[in-house]
Amino acid sequence: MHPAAAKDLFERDVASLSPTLAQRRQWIIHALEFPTIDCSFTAAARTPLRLRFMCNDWNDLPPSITLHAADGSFLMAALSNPTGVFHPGPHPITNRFFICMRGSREYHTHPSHVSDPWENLKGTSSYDLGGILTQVWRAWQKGTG
Amino acid sequence: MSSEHADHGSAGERHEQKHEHFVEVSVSTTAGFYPAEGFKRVPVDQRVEVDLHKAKEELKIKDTTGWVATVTLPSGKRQINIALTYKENGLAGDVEIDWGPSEGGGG
Repeated sequence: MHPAAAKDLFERDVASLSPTLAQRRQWIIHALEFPTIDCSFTAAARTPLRLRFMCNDWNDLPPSITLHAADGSFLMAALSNPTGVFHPGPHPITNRFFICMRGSREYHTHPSHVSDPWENLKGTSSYDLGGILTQVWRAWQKGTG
Repeated sequence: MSSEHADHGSAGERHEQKHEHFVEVSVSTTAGFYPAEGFKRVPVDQRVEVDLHKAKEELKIKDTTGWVATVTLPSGKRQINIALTYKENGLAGDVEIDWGPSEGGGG
């Protein structure tokens, strides 16, 4: 994907991630500037989870998603994982905790899932940037801590 | 007391009863809000999916297969059955529906 086209598509996808939506979902949007989405999920009695989506080459590639503490440091402990989305071990390429879910670059590059190509998902409503963010958020809501 | 008051209550009570037949709905998605601003008044006996279909059309969402609708109540967040009416879902007053894909399955 040409960088200008990737930026254009990114900006179209994130245009609706408004302050009103963030308020309703109790998200804190730290940055929405190509190629990065930096967003924290918050909820009463929960430790916030901060995510960074790196969307270079969007949407030829799915976003690379990293998990962080509220201060932006990389997450050092595994998350509650009732849905299997927050993998309890390190990714073989990044060596960090990762989002093991269709729509994350770490999932599609994991040796266990290379037979499940991103090409089959890209361009669908559930796998635009807001859709992927929503899916991770809903998985986080099922957890505790 | 007049027969009107005896049979139907005060004007204020009638106003309240009328409100009980409607809910005020706002649907939020990552593609935008339906309606774009504020709330839309709809009958409490209308199925939720009617408004979600309108939201899909207005917001130009291509595919909502596997999407779920949730509401946040004082008791917490709850998924609602969109094939049922607002009343059957136990909803009243202002109803803020969050609509989007369900959590992805982990690998």
